[in-house]
Amino acid sequence: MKYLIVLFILSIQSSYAYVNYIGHGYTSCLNCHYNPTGGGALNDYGRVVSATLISSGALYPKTWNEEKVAYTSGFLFRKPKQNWLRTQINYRGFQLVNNPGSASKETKSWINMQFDGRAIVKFGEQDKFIGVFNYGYSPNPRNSTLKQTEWRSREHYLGYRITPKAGIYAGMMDKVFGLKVIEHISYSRFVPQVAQNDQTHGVMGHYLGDNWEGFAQGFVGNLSQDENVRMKGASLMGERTVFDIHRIGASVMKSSNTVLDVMSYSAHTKLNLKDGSAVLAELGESQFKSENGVGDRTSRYGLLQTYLRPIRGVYYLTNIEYYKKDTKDEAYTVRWGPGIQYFPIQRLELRFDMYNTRNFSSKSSNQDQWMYLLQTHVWL
Amino acid sequence: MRYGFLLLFLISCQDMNSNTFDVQQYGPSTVSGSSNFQAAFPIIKARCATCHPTHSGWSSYTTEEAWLASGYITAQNPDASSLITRIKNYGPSGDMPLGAGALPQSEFDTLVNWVQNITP
Repeated sequence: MKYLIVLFILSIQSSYAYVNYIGHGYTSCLNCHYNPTGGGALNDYGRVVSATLISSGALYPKTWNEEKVAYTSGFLFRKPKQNWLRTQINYRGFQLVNNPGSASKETKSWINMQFDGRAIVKFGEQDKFIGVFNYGYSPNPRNSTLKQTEWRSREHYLGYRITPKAGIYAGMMDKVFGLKVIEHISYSRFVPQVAQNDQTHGVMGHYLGDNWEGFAQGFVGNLSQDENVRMKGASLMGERTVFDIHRIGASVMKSSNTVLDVMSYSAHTKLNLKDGSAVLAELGESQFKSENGVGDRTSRYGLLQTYLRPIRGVYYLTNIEYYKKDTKDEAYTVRWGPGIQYFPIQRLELRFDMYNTRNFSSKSSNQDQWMYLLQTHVWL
Repeated sequence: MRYGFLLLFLISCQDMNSNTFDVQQYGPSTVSGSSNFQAAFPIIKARCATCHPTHSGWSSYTTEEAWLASGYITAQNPDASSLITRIKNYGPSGDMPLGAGALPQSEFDTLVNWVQNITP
């Protein structure tokens, strides 16, 4: 057990997939992930892709060809000795700097965002039966008076693939809704309540057609929570391939507990600019209705991300987000900024993001807010 | 090793998510304390805690003591209280609430009055 704890502390990863890999021709997340909605554990093929297509080859020995690189893409650089078990470890942390350059307002903090261990058991031809277990660190909200254990089961589910393109999954997993972008603070994840810790127990069906993909999920909330706050409901998401390489999609989700009802709907697109570059966009709304009427509103959000890949291993990105807390209000917020993502070698991601937040209102004005993140992501 | 690894996944789950404080936020909860706090609390719930329910835990601050301990307010000093200075009504440095306009001035005044008159 001591060895396990040390391993957890020493190692480092992410909950979500990189939706922009449609720029490499992957319209479906199922190619590289056990979860067909993307995110979480990579399958063997996904690990090879991350080593040979996504990461820069600059740090590998010159004598290694792509086949050798692919062979070392497994857990702890080893080729798996059996076919029934896969393990993964992931860490993601970042330096957050608010108001950079301001003598009076600049703040810096290091945040350990995620530290997960994953185990996948699988049996049958083409992984017909799978069990995915993901346990990890999740920090308590900063300054919260409520302190909980900071370790949690992030997901645990069983899957049965009736055919390689159709499956049923049951257990605790992410809700099916919209683009599963990595930025869990994005308005497109925060508003419809599909952020980093919003996994739910439920059952999901998935079908991958020739030029479309469909998901249906029924859920009963996080069973670790008190009964009265568990969000129960259902969601549907469909995507269609257009012009052979792009995707358009739509989602709808209804969920409620004893005091709150949320109805969300969104439309999204994933555009393949080829050679690894892509554009992602999502526009959605969430309607909130509560028992006491406080905060009843319809919130609207928009997301536009571009990923440009000048050379292998490097992505230059821009992120533009729109948020209107209440559609009846004239004010809104826009957050935007550039970033750069670098994969010097498989298992290591270095990322820099800068964000400018600007509020638009005819009744008040305020200074722009700036912040940047220096992020490290390691997976074994 | 692999069995110990699997065992970890069966350990308790944390339940902190977007809905952890829904009862405090959206239920018929009331708070006790000074009349100033009782006047301010519904405003915080409606204007602030709808977006700060979990990642800042604001819905869990149901007493003046909790607010003081959070560091977001300083008794009798609104200018040193980020709960006040981050609100758009305060001036150009205020940027909250995100995605919405400034508070009605009467609501802002209620918050200032509460902080100004807290007895530490």
